[in-house]
Amino acid sequence: MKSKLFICSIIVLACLRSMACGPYAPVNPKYHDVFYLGYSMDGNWQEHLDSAFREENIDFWHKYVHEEIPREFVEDALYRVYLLDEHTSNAFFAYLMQHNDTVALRYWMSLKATDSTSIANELWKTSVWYYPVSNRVSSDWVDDTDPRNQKMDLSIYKVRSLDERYIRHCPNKDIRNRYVLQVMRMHFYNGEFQACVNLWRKYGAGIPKSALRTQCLNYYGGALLRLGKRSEAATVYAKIGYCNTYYFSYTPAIMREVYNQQPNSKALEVMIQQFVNSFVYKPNDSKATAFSALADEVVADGKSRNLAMWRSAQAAVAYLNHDMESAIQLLNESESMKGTPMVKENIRQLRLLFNTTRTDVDSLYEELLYPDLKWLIGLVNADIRNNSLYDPEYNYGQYDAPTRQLHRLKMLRHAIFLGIVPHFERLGQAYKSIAYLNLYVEQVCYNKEERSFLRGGRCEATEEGYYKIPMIYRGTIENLYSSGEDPIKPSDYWNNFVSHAIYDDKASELNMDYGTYLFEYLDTAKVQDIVKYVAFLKSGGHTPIEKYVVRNSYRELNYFYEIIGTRYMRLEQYATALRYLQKVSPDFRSRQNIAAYINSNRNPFAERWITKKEVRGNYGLAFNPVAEYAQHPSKETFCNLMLQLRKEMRGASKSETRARAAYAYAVALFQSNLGYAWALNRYEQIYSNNYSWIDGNMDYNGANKEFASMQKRVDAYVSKALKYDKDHTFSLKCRILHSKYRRQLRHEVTIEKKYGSSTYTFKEEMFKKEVRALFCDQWVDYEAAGNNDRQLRASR
Amino acid sequence: MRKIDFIFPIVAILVVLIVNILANHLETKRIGKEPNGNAVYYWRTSFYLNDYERNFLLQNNIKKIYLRFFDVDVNKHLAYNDKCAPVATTSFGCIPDDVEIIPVIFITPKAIKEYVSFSDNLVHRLYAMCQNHGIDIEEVQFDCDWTTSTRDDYFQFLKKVEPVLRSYFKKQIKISSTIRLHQLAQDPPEVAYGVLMCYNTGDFKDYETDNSILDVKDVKPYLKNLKKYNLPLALALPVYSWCVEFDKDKHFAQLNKSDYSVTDTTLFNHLKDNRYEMRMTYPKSPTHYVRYELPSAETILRVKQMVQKRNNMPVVLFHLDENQLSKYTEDEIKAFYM
Repeated sequence: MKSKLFICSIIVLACLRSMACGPYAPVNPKYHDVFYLGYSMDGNWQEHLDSAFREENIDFWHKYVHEEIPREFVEDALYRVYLLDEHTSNAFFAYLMQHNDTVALRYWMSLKATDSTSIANELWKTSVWYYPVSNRVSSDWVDDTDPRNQKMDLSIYKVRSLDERYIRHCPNKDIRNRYVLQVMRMHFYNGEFQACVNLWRKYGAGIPKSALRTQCLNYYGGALLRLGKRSEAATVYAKIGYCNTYYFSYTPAIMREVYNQQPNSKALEVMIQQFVNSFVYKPNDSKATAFSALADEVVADGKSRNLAMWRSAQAAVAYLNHDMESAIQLLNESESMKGTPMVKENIRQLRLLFNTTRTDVDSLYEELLYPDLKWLIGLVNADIRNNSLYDPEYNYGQYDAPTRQLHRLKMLRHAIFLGIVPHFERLGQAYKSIAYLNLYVEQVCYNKEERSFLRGGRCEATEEGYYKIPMIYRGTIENLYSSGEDPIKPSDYWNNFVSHAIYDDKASELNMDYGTYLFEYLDTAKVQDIVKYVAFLKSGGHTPIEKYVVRNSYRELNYFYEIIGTRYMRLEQYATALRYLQKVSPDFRSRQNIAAYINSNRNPFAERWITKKEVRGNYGLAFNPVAEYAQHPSKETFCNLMLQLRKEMRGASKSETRARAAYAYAVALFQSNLGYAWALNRYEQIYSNNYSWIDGNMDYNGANKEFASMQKRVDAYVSKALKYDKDHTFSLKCRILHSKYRRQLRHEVTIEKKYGSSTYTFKEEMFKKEVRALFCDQWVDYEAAGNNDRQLRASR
Repeated sequence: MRKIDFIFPIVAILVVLIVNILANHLETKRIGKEPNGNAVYYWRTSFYLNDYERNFLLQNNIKKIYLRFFDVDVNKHLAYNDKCAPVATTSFGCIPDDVEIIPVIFITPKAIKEYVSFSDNLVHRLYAMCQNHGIDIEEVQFDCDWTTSTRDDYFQFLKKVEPVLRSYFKKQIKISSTIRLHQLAQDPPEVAYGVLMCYNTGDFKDYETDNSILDVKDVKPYLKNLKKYNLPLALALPVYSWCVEFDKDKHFAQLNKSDYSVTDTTLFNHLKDNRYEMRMTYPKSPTHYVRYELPSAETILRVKQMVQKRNNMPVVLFHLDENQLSKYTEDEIKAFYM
């Protein structure tokens, strides 16, 4: 239960992160738990084993009483009655008593005694004296030869309700076999692992193939493992198909032991897989050399039916150790060797991955990728179509996806994010990086027919570990909602808090186009690269792979034009911005995530912090930008008014007019970026608490740089305004604006203080009395105000 | 007659020898052998050694750490049969490979008074801690300030805990015990050996006490019992300091184990010797006078000499803490161990 809760929390956290848009961050190559796949793991093996045994057990006892007792009473007797004595009223036991079946009753009484001791041991855990002990023998990153990682018997009460005599003297063969399991279980529970092993060796052969036998073997393997006989344990586990245990050691030495005993053991498939995957986290030259030597021997030996697995694993290890030449050569060799279909598929995926990181084939690069990329996308698409990758009813489908399907997706992601995108960035062709990101997002996150966002695709859009900005520092949209400024329309749900999608079943209303890797890239790439990309998109591509990429990408030009226009607006290139914005259809705009936020209430020209109407927005210019914007609130109106103000600022004959235009321009610049009208320039509200992580450290620069640059630009216009007009009231207005945008830094100060790295102190001076008298009906105490927007609303 | 004269001394010598050997054998079986090698106590609640401390172990060839695992105290909220509970359990960092860890469990006098049968629980917890942190132990030490009124309880506990330890650890675990100076006047507990705690010798609450951690004149009276004390002993010497704080009426206020600088003249006036007066007092703090106690190397060596004059015992320093140990020079530390 705890583990499920843990997984759920991880999933929820991952998705919380995925909701807001932010800068594109490079993929973390270490986040890739299944790099190499040679064996499809069954994560619920233990559960399956237990349920199979449970069913078999109930059936057995049901038949034992000639089905005269309903099955559910038998089940109750087996799993819900904890004490068996003369007072037990269960019908199954009553039947045994009536028939004076002392053999079965004896078995059950001893079994219930065992269980009651287990319960007592559970109770022990609530004692003040209890000291929690890790149950883990080891994991894939912990050395299990270290005794401190080995599970020891820590039960306070030993079970002594059974012993071998029960087996020897039991006249019923079937019950005798059940005694074997129970006595083994008891020894295991008591930490008497050798006794457990001895018992199996003595009686195991007589137990026919069944869930009961599998259970016995499970205890046998566990006991061997705890006695340090890992290779024997591996063989036992392989026999019963329990190969996905993380308790295995997968060192080359252990692999050699297992290979010598069983060259085709399933355990080898798991160990090799785990071994290679461990290299993603911790490359190790000596281990790589040892493994390579072993693989060479195995290949020369020829006993394995899966030689391709050994060779390709060797290639993967070489790749992870940055030996590209050997990696390619070994992979080529593995292609012509015998191997399981899964290994063959894995080899092709590895080839794609290796090719994406090659630097020696620039002119042929894309052609080299084409067949394998198309093939892998085809597989992933098929997995999506048949619902084996994402559960259409569940938002986080891929986490439950079978290993093989998940692996395909991860390899595709790896190829795109770690190979292709950086490759084109290196070549200065970022528009191609955009193209492949678009292809990936479109193929993996969206439903083809209606282009609705796939529920499972939500996670895929911003997979945990690839996403470096934690939601807690990006919770701006939540703030907006809590302020309740705008009427909430369906389109407002866009990338708001995840609960809408999960609990309100409004997933279809989410416009995730502004919450994907593609968007993050577009939001932060050079605008010229986006322009180039649009040209590429319109051309339809020239080579077969280019045509394939374009054909399978998101081709809504409105989307790209709108982003280009907005990016130019951020650069204050309003004329160029207008050229692109004018191409965007009204219908598209109405479906945008920011549509609800571009309205007259969020007028960028209004000095919302000044509450006296006669003073607010009265710039004394030939035109009233506040009123004009209010008539047609849109990005174009804003651009036109900004151009007009700039014209006034530069060309007006009166210095006061120039000053007022500069001031109005500064107000709008501030409001449209950092203030209430943020939706004109952003797809999320920017606070200075947008942070990114670089190598595990919080990086303020991403947000701070943008913040500082915006401040400088607003500062420049405010200085210009002050230079042209020395009027006291006007200069106070300028200083309030100055204070206002400086005040935004308070978030930053809070965060820095919290993390103890503060070198910055900010003292706000607001000239309270004077300002109140001049501008405000009701003074808003900024110092005391927790939320700027709320305070403004109160004074509106 | 001449023949008898010749045989008698030989027989007499043989008898004496046999009796001696038997007596020695019986004694050894009962009380074990004295420990050897340099050792140190570790008495903090988290076991993390820094570079200085690791280096200290190496430089002084220390092969044993007496590491406090937890205390046992009375918990009034618990039921009658489970009145005692472990408190202040140590958390563990990395355990050094080449040093033997000897778990030490401090049992408060109140707890030992209430002792009914916590030995099972105690050992189970100790076993769990050892297993969880990969500590392979050969010995465990119990620390209890028992007096005549609690002696029987403590001795009974020691007797009962031994087989429990053996059943959990599946081997013989040696038991040692701390011995306080006043306990030298009593019969020794039945353990392998004791560690004589030559510290906390004075009454720290008394303003007139010069140094409550270690004072030669406080130790001396107890040593008369040492010669006839029938238990091998190691000697624990203090290498720590503390500040004893008194209010303006020179009544005891509190014991401050944190290390603040009494030499900071902006905060303290130096009165005389190790006495200081606070320049300014804090609103809610009664502290007015401070007695800074740090046993000098001379005192420690003097006490060591006095104790070892009667018996050459191995030394255990109390305790491994860079902040405290660094107040002594390397030579002084070496002299303590020598």
